[in-house]
Amino acid sequence: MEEALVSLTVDIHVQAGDFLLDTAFTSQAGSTALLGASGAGKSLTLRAVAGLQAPTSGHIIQGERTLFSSEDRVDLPARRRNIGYLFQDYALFPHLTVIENIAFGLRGCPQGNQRAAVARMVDLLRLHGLEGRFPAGLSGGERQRVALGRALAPRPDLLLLDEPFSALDTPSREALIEEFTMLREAIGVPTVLVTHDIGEAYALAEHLVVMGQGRVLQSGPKREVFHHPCSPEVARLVGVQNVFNQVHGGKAVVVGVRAGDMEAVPCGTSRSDSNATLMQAVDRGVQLLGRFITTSGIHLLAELDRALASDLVPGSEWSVHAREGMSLTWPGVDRTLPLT
Amino acid sequence: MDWDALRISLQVAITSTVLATLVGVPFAWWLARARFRGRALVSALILAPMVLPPTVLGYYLLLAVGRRSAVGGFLDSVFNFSFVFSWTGAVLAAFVVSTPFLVRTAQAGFESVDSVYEEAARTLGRSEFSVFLHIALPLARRSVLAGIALALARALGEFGATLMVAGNLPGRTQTMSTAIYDAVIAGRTSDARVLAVTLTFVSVGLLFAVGTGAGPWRKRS
Repeated sequence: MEEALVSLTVDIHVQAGDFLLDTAFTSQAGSTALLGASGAGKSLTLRAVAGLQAPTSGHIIQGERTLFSSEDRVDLPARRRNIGYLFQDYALFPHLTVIENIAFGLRGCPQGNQRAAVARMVDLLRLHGLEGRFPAGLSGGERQRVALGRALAPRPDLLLLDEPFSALDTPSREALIEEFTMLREAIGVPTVLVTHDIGEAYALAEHLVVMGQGRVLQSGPKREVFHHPCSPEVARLVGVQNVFNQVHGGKAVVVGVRAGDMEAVPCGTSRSDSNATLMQAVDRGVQLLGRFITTSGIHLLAELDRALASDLVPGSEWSVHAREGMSLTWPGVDRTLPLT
Repeated sequence: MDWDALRISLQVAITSTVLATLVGVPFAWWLARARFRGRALVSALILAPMVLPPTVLGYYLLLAVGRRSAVGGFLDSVFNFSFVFSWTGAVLAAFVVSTPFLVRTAQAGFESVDSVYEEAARTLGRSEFSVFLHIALPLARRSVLAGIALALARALGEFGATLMVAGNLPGRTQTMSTAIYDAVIAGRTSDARVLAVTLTFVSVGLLFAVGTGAGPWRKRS
């Protein structure tokens, strides 16, 4: 993919009822994720890019195409944007079969090309045997594959995905994320994804745009955003479980540490360097976590070594610290957190 | 008895319902999806013919298209055409009286369908006409057909406004409904009975025909 063709610039104001969206970001990557809690304005941004929601002002430029510009009075209707949209609940047409759904965006192409494009989608998305079924007779994963096929069949210049994997159970989700990554490479279409899950965002995008309350909180390459969140708010959204206020060298700072970057060692009776009490052990199977409260009253979540499983006595004394160089700090005080 | 009344009734009701469908169904879709100031007012105005007495409607129609009105005078002088005392006047009356039933029912049907399907069709390159024809209409099919059936039944039974505009000329504008009235007034009770039973069968039969067409779309081959 050539860079000029995949770049996406969004700088818009949208007024939707009482909600005011004020989004601005540029992504040069072929894959972008909009990350944020519900109500952050991610989906509204996606709708504006697709042409389903008119911004009050601003511009949306993809590659060399101006999709919307209030200054130049450009507002391409959705049907002329050539943007594929994967809706949250897929929005498969219930009165059309799998094949008819996939072919829906191919109207106007010669019959032969239509058949070839549909056959390609059936192959790529492994939909053999489902051609004549109606959406009501499909599983969640099958519906998603059909919806992807429908969006990709007309060879869109951009593919938008609204929480594509949130409605699925974990096993089919993992498989689909992997499958989707391969599919995207095979097709080579730039994507913009909306999600509240940092794992999904990290797995599927190179560029992260973190949103909150209708604004962009941080935008950048995923590693940068993931490892250097610019604020405690962004840190929480990119999966930093421990965020707390602290006074460091006479100055108030906010500190953030991921549970996996904490080191927790149980203190024997002889040890006196304990600083936290174990409140609860949380075994998530793939992860063993301990909930601690420090002597200064801060709640901490730390990933524990499986070898310690026998020491997990609630009320026991532990030494809990961030690993060297793994804590993040921001100047100031986070008012949403208790002061210590 | 003569069968002109039945022929005229069917001719008037079917013409009126075809017009009501062509105008009312797209209008109902637009009303269901449009967001603008005064939408509630437009919705209320559409319903006015449902609550006004048919004779009142007929009176207004006469005012609007009668020979002395601007519209009526124009049609008369340029096309030598008049709604008054002609079967087209009966069609006009039936159209005005029955269309609100169709719009109301179809609008509720369109509103009950999630607009995300229409948005999906737009992102897939379809025009508004195609979105309406291939997505909105099939998904709201039951309500639309129910609305058409209601409008047809209402048009077939229309009496008051028809009498005011088209009159009651046997063989020209006399419909089943007005013929029954005529027969009763003239004391031809057996004629009235035959007409009433015939109209009952025709109405129920037409409704049944429309109802069978409104089966679930999933069964479509």
